[in-house]
Amino acid sequence: MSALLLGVALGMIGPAAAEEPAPTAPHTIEATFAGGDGSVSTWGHLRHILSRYPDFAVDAEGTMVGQPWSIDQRLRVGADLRYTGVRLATEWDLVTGQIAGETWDIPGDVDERHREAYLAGTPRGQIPRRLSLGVAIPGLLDLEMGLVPATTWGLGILANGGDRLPLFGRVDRGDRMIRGRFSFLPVRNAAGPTAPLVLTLGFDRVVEDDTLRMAYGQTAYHVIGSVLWRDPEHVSGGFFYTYRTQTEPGDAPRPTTVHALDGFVDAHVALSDAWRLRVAAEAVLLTGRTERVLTYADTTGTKILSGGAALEVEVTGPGDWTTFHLRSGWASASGDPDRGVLKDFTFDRNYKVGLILFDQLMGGIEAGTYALLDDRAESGGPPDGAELLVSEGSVRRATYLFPAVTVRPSDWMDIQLGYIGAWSNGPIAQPFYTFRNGGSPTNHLDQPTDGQRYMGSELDLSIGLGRGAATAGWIFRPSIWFQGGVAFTGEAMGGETLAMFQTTARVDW
Amino acid sequence: MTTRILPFLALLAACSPSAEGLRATPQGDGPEVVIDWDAEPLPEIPLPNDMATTPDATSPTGLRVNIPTEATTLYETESRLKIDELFGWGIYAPITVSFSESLDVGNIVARHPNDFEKEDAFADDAFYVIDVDPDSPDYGKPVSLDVGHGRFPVDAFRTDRYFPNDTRSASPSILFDTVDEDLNHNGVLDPGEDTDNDGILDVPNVWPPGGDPFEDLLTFYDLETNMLLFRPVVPMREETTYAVVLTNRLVGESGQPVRSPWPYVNHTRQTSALEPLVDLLPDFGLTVDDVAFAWTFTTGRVTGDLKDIREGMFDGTGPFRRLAKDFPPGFVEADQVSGRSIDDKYNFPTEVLSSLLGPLGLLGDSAGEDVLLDGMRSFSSRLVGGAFVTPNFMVDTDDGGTWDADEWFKVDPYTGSMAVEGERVTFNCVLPDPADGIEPPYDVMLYGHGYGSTRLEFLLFAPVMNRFGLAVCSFDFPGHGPGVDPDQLAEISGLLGPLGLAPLGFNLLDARYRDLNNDGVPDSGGDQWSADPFHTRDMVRQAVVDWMQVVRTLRGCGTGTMPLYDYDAEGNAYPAGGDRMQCDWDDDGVPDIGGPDANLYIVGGSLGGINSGVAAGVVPGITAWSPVVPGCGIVDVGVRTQIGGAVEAFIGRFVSPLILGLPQEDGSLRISELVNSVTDMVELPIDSIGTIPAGGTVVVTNLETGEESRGMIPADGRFRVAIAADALDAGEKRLAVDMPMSGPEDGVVYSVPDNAGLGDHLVVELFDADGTSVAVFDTWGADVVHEGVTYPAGSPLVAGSEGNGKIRGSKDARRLAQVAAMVMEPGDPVAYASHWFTDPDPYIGPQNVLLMPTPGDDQVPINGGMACARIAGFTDWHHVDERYGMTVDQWLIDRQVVRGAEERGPWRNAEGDPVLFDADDLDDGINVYGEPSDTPLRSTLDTPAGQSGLRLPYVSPKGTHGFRTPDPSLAFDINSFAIYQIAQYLDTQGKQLQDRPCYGTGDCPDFQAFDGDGGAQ
Repeated sequence: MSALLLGVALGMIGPAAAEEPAPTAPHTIEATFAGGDGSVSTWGHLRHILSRYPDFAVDAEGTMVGQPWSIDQRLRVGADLRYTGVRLATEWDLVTGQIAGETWDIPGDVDERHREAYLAGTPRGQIPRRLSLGVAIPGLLDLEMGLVPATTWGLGILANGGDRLPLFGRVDRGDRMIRGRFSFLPVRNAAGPTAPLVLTLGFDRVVEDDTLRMAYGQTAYHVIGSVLWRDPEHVSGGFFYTYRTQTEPGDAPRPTTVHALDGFVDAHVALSDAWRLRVAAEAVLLTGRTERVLTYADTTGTKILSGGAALEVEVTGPGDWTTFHLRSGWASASGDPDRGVLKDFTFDRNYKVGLILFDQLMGGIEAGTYALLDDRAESGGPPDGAELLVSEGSVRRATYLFPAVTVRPSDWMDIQLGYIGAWSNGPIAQPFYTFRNGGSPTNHLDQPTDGQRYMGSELDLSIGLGRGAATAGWIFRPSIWFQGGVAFTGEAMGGETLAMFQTTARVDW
Repeated sequence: MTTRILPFLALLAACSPSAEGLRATPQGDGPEVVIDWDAEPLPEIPLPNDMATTPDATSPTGLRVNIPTEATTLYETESRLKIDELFGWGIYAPITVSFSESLDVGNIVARHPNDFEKEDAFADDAFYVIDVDPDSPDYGKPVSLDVGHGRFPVDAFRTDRYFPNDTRSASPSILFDTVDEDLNHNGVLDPGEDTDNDGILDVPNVWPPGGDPFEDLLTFYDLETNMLLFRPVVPMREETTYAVVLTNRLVGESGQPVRSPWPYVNHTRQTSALEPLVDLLPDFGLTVDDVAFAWTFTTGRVTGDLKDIREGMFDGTGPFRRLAKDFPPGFVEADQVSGRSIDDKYNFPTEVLSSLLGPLGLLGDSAGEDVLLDGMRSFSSRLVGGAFVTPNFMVDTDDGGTWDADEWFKVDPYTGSMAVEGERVTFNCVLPDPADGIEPPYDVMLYGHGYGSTRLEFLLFAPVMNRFGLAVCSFDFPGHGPGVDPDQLAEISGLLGPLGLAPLGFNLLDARYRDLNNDGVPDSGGDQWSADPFHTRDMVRQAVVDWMQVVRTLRGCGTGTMPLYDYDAEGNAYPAGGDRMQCDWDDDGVPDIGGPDANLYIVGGSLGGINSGVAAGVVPGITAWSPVVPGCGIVDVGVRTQIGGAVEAFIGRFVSPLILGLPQEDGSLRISELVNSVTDMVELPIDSIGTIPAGGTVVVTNLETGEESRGMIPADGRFRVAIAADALDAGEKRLAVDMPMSGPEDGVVYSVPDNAGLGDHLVVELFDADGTSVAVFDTWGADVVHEGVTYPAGSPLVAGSEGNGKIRGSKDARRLAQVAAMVMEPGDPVAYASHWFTDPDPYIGPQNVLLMPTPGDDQVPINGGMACARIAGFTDWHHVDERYGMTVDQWLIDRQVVRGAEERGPWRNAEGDPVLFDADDLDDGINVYGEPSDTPLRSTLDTPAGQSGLRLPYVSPKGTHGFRTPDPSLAFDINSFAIYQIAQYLDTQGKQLQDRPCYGTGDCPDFQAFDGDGGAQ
């Protein structure tokens, strides 16, 4: 069960916002109410994604992904009412899910994007994201309580609200929680804050994240605290600590307790009048213990000790015409998953690295693996926690190098070209076949992989049209984004060439 | 920049090396251990094995068995689902591993002699089982293994016991094949050679090659599948991890060591569990480099449920603590036992009873009847009865309360959840006649009856036990009651009614049995031994729970009251108003039996011996025990027994449904379906064809599962083809056809249109020798009635009952035995015998036990009783006994006592007839039957609690199942001896086990004398 990566997901725990959210700008109507001024803001977008997927075998039984194409839809609508420092906000994803094309052939429904079903017209396609009440004293403190999407911390490898556009790929959902949060600026004088230092304390009841669905009867709570230096023009950075306790449904609570410590820095430097440099990095350490995933070395519980890090370097040229990116990341891995320590680390599912290698290939293999583990012809049932295998293609157990370049020939067009090389930090081992092969690393095609670490490389290209609508001040801002990629998987990953094409059409307001 | 980063990345990637095994598998070409995950019906891996488990925090062992649950039939799927509830593997079941090529069997024989008396017994073994659990008291110790030593005979007492058209009816065992099918010796299964229709070229499983199937049956290795099987001599510890180590001393026929199929010699998942071997192997002259293959298994929770239930009942503690409050002790009824002709209807004089027993035939027609009746008249006073409420863990949970014959204990020690309801259980006692030193409240002997029998058996013991001042009480075990058919019932009613004694009959027939086959007649014990090992296991455990409740109740005698109940004209008990002090039936203000200081004893015979063998390891408050003809290793017993009903219910279900060809006198061939129905095999005629297609083929297809079975049609037409199938059980049929709970009503035809849902649709097609189809049967040729339901002529042919459809002597048969043994252990004395006094349960301390198997027992075969003796500590296998120049264990094997089949042993009497060996020589050389004997064994052990012992009453030179009623005509009446030996052992409170010759006549000078007129002198 090398990929039972608990720690991964403990991350959906964002305290105060580290970055501005989403490219969605609210449409605001100012109004005067009895007793004071207020405003009503609305926002939203309608998104359709047409995808042409690569097909590949996810196991040695010959199970293929079997989904040539699909059209996914998302209608996100939000509104808030502000009145003398009080904010009542709500946001929903409606008719969200696949509406056309084919579903994949991988058995089961463990995939959270639910590529096995047409969800848009079902109750599961109607998702409340926010229903919250906030009270703010500008420049002093901010209180928030209610259902909220997670705010993205740092680069988002741990806490990610799914509200940032990736270089390539797509983001879906975002973690949600019922939160009580208190933030304030402690460095101040009588006139107000004198330093952008934000302290936050909070408490969460998690509704949904990478490792939990409250609807499934799982329960998790966070106690969070963060220190954030927030100066987006120069240097931002901070630490947050989260204590998470989680229990599972059923007779046995199978508790998990995790301490997460995350630090990040995001610095912007002007190299010259024309050239700017951004260097951002985030590192995460998870420690704790879980009974959700057990190993044979200790059937009473498993230690968690894992970590990950990401680096983003950007150099932007004159007039924002060109940006050179260099991204890299590392997620720890267990070499021997049965030794009683979970070392595997998984990036948040919405921290995207490319189109194919992780998002498609690994996502499909993981779902295929779970299907085998859940096959009653193979066993009486999957091991506890096996569902954590399915990350939908997150970066896990891997190191990647991701250089890219963005060219903006006009305000309305973005062209991006990127390359990804990825290596596994542990043996390339699909748990089902590795188990069958005596524990010696074996891939999803039931081929031994001992000693091999190279996962593959990927070349991605995208063209985006419509960015200028936002600067033009349009209320309804259409955009379209064409992406394509080709991946050359390493021998241990099947040695295939996989291609993918995706078009995202979107109208924001 | 890239050139600098890549080495850094490579460094990171190297941080997490792959899991490793104990050592890499060396080069070689020896036989490979077979690991076939895709094998059907179950993966082929060494078993037991923690590879087939999953970690589980709710399991006491941290593991739970995890085998595939998808099977051909729902019947098998349900079984597998239950297996996946187990917390680990068996403590006594066989350990098996298969190889890709033949092993050198001679090498195994040479390396694994029965030499445990030697200090270096393990020095050159080829394989080991070693306790590698650091928390175990036996950590690092090897397990003594039986490798064909003779402790586990598998030859059936009647080889032709396994139903019609059995081509292996002369083969000794149902676990191994001994027929050489390779008629032309070409090594290929040619047409006409597959006489058992298993698709495999069978070879005689004997050693040495060419040996006699009975005397040289190979029981530790299967030549057909290259499967090595070995057994622990005594059970291993429960909830303990063991390593099985195959060393490079285990070689194939070419002399090459066996090999792992993997890169390492073990599964890397088990490396950490196997690591203690690094330090332990040198004790056997080995290092890790000598390991050819190794695996681990963890034994499950075996005795724990009953212990938790006990503590819940007695102390109100533990996970099942609510039992104490929900099921308080106490008799809830004092039942009417007599009618108008008796003054006190709650006390029936035994003087009157003794006059009735003869005519009722309840004592049989033995010569000992008079002895028993005299004893009753001399030493007994009253028969009383009543009821208590027991926590019934076999409560129906899936058939609307109508069918509990498929239930099992649903208890969870983790959550404390349990499916349990109260069940009213009736009982009776025979009280002694007061005499000097014999006055109420009397000590109590609780008697446990036999399979299919009733509590009334206790009447046979009552006179002798009453003579020693013991009250004798008994209740029916779960599902049991008097086996009275309607004719007998009429006879009894005719006898008792005119005497105004109908309530006695009502009381004695007020029992726990129920109709299991929809014929309107209760089937006593019909579901006691079944093919469902979970149900069978828990029929035993429920009986033990019942005893616990009785013990609690007896301890409360004198406290509180018990309401009086009478019987109405239909035999239903109802509150009569009024009550009496608990256990004070004669209402004299003094309880008749029990109380906090009373001595309580348990004696059980056959099923009662098995149940008491379990109880003696877990039930508190019993002064002494005597399990008579018990069996440790119920499956070991099951594969040899010829006991009626159990063979049909257990093995019959395993091999059926069978499609049979039955030649008729007119030359036609009747095609029938043979299925199991409770304790019977029932033939359901399908149709006939005019001539026998000799040399042809029969193909049976299960249209529901798509499975097909084929068989050859011999010249006489007696073919037999098995096919797995689902079908409704009798209870489900009753619901499906809306049959009354009391059984079918006369004149009513119960059926379902097109037999829908009654069973899998079958098609039988016959081909002649040329391959031409000559007949197809997919409907019933005539009306067939089965379990109360009519399958009309012309309606679809369906399976009448569910079954595994397996073949005797096959790998499946061995697997079934292996799994069933494991499942049954919590309800098998095999798991409790070591806790009687050798390794006592702290809660109850050491017990006094007189164990009494009888030589040559073919019902609960004697090997089961001898296994109890070995496990309990009565027969030593570690030390040479000077009397015999070998270990007692070996001596008993050599003398064929363990095997117990006189016709296959070396012993002859003066007439040259085969006889059994008399190990105990309890007749002190009288040798009634000319039986051979030696220095008597008479194993007696002093324990901290008193004395315990093993006695082997030699009742017959051909063997018997238990002893009989006394027979004064014998030169030495071993029957009288046995019962008096038990009685006096109890009378000494288990402190002294004596072998007094006067037991044979029952006239020991210190015994109460018979007065002959109904009162003790």
